[in-house]
Amino acid sequence: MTDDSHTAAGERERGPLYRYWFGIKLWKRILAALLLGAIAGLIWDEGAVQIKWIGDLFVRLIQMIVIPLVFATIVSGVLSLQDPKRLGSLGLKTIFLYILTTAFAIVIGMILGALVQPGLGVDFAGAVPRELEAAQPFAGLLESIVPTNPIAALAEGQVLSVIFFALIFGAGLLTAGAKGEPLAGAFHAGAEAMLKVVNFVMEIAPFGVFALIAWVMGTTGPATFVNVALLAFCVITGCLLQVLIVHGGLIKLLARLPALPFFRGVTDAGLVAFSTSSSSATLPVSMAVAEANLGIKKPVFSTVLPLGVTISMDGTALYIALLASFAAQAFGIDLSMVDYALIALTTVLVSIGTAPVPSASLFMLAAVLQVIGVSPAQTALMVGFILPFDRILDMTRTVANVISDLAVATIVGRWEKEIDIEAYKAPPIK
Amino acid sequence: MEKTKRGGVPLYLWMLLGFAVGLGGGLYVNLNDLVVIPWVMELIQAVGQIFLRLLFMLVIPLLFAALAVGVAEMGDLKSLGRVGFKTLVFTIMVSAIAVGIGLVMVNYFQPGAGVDPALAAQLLEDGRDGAAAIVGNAPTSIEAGQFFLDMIPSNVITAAADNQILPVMVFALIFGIGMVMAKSKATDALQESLQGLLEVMMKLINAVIKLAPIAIAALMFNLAAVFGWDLLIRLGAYAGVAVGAMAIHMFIVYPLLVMIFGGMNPLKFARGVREPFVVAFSTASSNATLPVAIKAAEEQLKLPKRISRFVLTVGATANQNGTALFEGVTVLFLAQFFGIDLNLQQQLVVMLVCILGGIGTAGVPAGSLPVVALILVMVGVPPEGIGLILGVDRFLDMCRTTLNVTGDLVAATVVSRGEKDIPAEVSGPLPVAPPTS
Repeated sequence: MTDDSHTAAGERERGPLYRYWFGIKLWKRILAALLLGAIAGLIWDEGAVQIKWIGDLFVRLIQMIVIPLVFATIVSGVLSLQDPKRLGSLGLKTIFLYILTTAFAIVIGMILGALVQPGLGVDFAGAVPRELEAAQPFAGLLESIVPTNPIAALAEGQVLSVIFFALIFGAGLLTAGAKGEPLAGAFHAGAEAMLKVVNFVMEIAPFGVFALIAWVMGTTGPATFVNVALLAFCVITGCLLQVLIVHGGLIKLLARLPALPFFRGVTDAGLVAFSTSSSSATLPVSMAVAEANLGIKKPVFSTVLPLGVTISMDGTALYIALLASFAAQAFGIDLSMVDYALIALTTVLVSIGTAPVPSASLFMLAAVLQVIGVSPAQTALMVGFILPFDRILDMTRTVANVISDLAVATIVGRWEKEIDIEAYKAPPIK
Repeated sequence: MEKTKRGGVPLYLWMLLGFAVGLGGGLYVNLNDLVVIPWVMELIQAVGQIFLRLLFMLVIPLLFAALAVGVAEMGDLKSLGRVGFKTLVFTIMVSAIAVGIGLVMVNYFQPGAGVDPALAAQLLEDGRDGAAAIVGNAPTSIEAGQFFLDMIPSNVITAAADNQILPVMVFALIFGIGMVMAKSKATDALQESLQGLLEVMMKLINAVIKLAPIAIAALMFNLAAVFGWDLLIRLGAYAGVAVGAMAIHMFIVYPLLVMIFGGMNPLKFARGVREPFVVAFSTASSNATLPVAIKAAEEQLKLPKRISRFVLTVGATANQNGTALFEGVTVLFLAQFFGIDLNLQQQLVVMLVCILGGIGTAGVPAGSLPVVALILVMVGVPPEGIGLILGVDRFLDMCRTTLNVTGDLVAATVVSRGEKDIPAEVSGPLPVAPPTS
């Protein structure tokens, strides 16, 4: 992550505090910040709002990098592929894996929902109904992937459009041959520069994470959770199962790699995902981690990860499936096997089309609940009931989303022989 | 238009086939008063939309790179300063005349008028979402003073993001001039990068154009289903007006220019340009005709080598009278077709973009297509109309290439007047080879 020579030079010049601080691995610093932040939030209570700006600053710093990073790394990644035709096989494998992990997540969600029955006897009396915006129709989404103006797509941060344009642009640059070389060099340099910037920003991560967690714990402390204790239990258990068993298992089975280095390598990204609760804000960190800790090569991580941010949402799909059971139990609707299948199918479709913003899953909910005959009014009531607690559940889900992206990137990297096994097995650089 | 082959059949034949299929299907639906199943209709519309969106996606980078590189390259030939300047002025002047003729003709003959306004309104309504999705804030009316003010972008990235094409073009021009003024190793690298960008955009447009046959079928089906036979009549009128305007430019304006400014007998000129004339018409490619045009200029018209080479080479990409005229006529025709009144100022915008577009779309095969699409949206005309034009585009392309090439020769004749030939080592760039792709 940080430049080793720079650190070594720094050690000679700077004091013991500096040496001590940078002597601790980054993920340990972030983890410590997370725990301290939680404690600080519990003690400080509502007052923790005062330091939220530090967290927001951190989130903004990473978001600042997302678009240039995505654009430059995808173009640079496609260029390193050498052959644009390989994009096709890479893309198919990626999408197949994303749908596979999402399907597992949905099954876990539904099984947990059926076993734990979090919705039984829930009292909606105190809830304020919330209307939801309609989810975007699938055909419209396909159309909107093609940006009419790439500059506007960049300016508005439309990730899918940017990915599309970057892929096409990279392929064009590849076919342009010698004439495109100066420009290609500029993109390689740009990608490198952006990844370096991620490393700088990550040094601020401990402070940002501390502030964000303190704020969340201070404003929605554990006391408020009694209402949705069972649901929260299901989400957290489900995400843990998904990450440890499904992702770990897939790495073992499909990539034939040990799972432990994977979990060790992705800790940074998981922690940032947890505290920012946005997989798109975590994207720069995921990319840095994929390259430095997992040894995945640029063509794979540059394309698989941004795509994953928008189309793969394991934690979200799990949550939606769970909420569907929750709603059915709460409103007394009996679910048949066909209903379960329908929920699974709609969840996959909707989770592909949801924007990677915090709490996006709630917007997907209406579409899925409609399938099993929950009226919009009932949905609104339920959303109003859950929303106050959604932040912490969302944080948990985001971890599953981000780790699934990295797991898929690892597997695709292994399949495409674009992974450095030595680097993967070695302990994280930081 | 480029002659990419698919399965041994030239692309334009595929486009013609797509045109025929879409038209036939649409007319069948229209005449039998059938109602198309909604999801099928949606699918067909989506196909057309995706094609249009792909075109739009490439416009801004294409125009920016083409203009900036074009200007920088002209500046590279500083030794030809006076000649270059004369060529530029002449190009802009004659392009303006060409577009002017086109606009007057369309306004006079109104080839697009007379379509049932209710139908047009319905289609406009249908297309509004698509058009709005494509360009959010198209200017609706433009005031004279504000118009020139708006041509200077206060933030070029915002202007590009908002699809404000004129400010972006102005910036590209200025940027190109800046690159010439700050000429150094570093700017050379920048220029090479921009050239790479241009190259990439051209490759991508070639790739997108390969989808055109399918898209034309979809767009035509849509239009024909709504308008029926009216469509064909209007299309005929459009082609007639376009060809008429080009004929006026070719047979009245060019001879006058040759006589008055070039000091050459128009008949002698006409005899001299016969060969490039025929080649241009049959290949529909300025670049492919360039060697023939250079030969004709030197051997038949006896123009000084140094100047004719320079003017013809630059002209093959930058001096596109026919293209500019075509773009103007097309935009106005489609506006009439959809019952949209364009006021004088809006027509002025169209004219300016067409002239600059003629310079900007530098020799890109079908390069005028994205430009036309963008102008359409700028003035509030549904870009779906492009499907209509594409069907007859091959024929018009042959005509406008002939006009482009002849215009280059006229420019060479006029610029050469009073210039002496000088030794070969300072002669202009060698002729560009025809595009290989």
